Amino acid sequence: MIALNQAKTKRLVALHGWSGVLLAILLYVVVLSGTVVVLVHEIGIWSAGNTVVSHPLEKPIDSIVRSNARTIPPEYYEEVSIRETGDGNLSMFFHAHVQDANGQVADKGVRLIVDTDEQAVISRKEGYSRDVFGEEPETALEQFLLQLHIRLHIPGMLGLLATGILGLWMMVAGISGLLAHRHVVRDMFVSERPGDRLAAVRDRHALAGSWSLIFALLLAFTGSFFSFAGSIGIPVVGMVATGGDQRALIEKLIGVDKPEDARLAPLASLDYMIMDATERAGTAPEQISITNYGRRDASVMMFHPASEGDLTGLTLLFEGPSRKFEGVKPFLGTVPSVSNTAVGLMAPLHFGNFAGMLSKIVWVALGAAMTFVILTGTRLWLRRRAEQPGWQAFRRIMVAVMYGFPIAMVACAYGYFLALPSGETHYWTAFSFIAASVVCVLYGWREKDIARSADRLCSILALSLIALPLVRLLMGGTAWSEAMISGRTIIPSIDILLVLGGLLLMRWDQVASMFSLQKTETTSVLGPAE
Amino acid sequence: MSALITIVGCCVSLWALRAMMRGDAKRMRVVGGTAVERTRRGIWFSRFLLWCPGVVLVAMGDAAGFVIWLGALTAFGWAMVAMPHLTRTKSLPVAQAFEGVRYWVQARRYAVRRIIEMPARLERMELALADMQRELETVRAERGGRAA
Amino acid sequence: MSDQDVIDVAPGRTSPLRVFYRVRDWISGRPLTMRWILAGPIAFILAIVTMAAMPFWLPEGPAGVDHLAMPVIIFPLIWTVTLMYPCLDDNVPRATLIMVAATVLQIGAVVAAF
Repeated sequence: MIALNQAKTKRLVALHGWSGVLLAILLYVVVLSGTVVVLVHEIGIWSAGNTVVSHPLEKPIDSIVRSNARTIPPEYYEEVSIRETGDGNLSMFFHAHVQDANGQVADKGVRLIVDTDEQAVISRKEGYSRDVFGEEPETALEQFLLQLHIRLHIPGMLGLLATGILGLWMMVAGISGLLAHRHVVRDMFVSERPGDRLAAVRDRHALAGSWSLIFALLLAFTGSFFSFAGSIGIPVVGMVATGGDQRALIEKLIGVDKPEDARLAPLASLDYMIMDATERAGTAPEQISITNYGRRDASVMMFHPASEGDLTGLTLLFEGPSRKFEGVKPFLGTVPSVSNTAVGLMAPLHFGNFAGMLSKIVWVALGAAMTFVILTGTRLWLRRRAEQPGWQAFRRIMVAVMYGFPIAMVACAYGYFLALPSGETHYWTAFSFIAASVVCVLYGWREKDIARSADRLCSILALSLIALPLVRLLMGGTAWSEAMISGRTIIPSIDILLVLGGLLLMRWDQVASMFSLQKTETTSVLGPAE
Repeated sequence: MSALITIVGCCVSLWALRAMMRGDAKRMRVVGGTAVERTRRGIWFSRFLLWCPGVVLVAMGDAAGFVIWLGALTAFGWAMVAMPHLTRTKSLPVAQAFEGVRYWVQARRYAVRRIIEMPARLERMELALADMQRELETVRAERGGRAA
Repeated sequence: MSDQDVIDVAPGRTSPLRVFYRVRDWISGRPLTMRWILAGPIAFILAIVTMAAMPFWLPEGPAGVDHLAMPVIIFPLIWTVTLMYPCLDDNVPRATLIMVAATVLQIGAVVAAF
């Protein structure tokens, strides 16, 4: 590709290798959990068993908002966020932007969940957004997996810094690999050499890395952005641009240019604005944000999902008291700009949810490819150091993590379903994950025979996948018939995928020989985890 | 509609990728087998088919479709390239199944081609028959004349 | 004329050049350590101060937010570049000079703005 001298190439290979192996375990955890949480919405429906297919924002909600707003303290009228919950109810979060005890900008207010059919308040919670959101027992599994990917469950800014650094490291590994590989384009069609040689292991890693490079860099960059923006970016730029006032910086970025007018004025019909916005955007809004509710300077923003063929959605702005349409609001600023386009593309390109199930399937495939790259790279590194006892100990740990992490993710699903009747799903989901992780790592550490360790852990993973749908049904989960009638085909689909995945793992030897994916007794050239 | 165009585009590109893969000499040296002989026109046609769906999606303004196409080409293209036996020996069940399907399709194409060619062949046979009859009558006439 | 001749033009006085050459030789004698320092803490500091200085020299753009948002958006890229550059440059003293100078420049831009 690019002609580099030998010294440079050696340094790049060292940088590539060390950057990969030092953070191999954490990279594997973040990338594999990221692959799984592409389908977090579907996992939420499957785990909670939601069969109610209701879209409250497509029904009249004006009277609901007005009547409930009267029960909220006026200091929380600064912003009202309205959206649908996973089980078809309406969530309204009346809040103000404050600085918490750590000096970070946070949202504090009252969150109501309303059943739009019964017009009754199901739940009312007051506090910071981190306290009032995500505490429902049914959301425990999806929240756990999501937070595992976003911050590795490390509290505070440290978690975001950790995942940001992992994304950065992935970019470094990708770029150094590209520069060190002399014939990327020429070798694009060259699969691994036959035989259990070091060259075959290198070929496998190089091929997977070359093909997935573009999206690996894209996903690493967008992931790092999400992690660093709140933890480093906004505080640093806020310090120099607005004297440390992060709230002022955010307001400047979002483009609050309306003159303040604190005189009271009732909000115009929200239903009319929703109807108008739906007609203009072509889709119903998925979220509504009302700023300065009840004031003359109130404004209403409708967030619409991306329509067919688009990557980004639309935000339509209305004047609150008069319901006058003010135009399409860019995410940043008040007119389109380069930074607005860049920020607008971050979410769809990272989450892969811009075109429904089609884009999610592709994103899951890309995540699987990137996981493969990490595992084969680690295998290559360890293979080169097969004689060194220290690295062999790491190899045992790595095999335990390779199978142990998926086992732990399945274990947390078991913990969730078993705790669902008691409602303490958040605790037991986390407990199951930690317990399974510790057991797998301890077993992998103690078991000197790596092949036996891999086989046993693989069998445990296979059996646990096959049994999971059964446990879900036994603990009162939604039956297939009910799911099909209500149109929630994702519930039986995930059950079938789990069983198929388990069977594939159990019959891995046969599958591998069908595709002639080589496996030897001693080194297990390509294991089921890959 | 956009999703359908994207899926069709992905299939076209992956098919072109397979064709390019089977003609890659370096790959064949590694996995064993003979590279499919490609004419220069064939190589350029494969490259055109590979990139054409992406260009079409961009021209249509379908940004989402383009990103999905690129992602699918990356992920599934890698999976295809990483499995050497789609282009290697015929002794494996999956390769055998592919070969079986290929022969079945070839047989039907052959039969359809023969059916399409049937009227032209019949016409040629009729002309040949007419020629033979004329010749026969000429021979008979000559023989009859000699007998008289 | 060699470097030593230049230094000894005025023997007995400490030449700034003498300090420069000593530092350069010290850095050249420890390439691996210097690369670790440059690619580690120096790269991070340079990335942070570059992000801090960018609002003062980036154009504001039509929406008046580009100079604030772009530094946050491209911060991962900046850090990647500052991390990889000391590994790619064969000349460690040159890499040190460039990175230290860039850091000082960016800090200067921030200080000057205040």
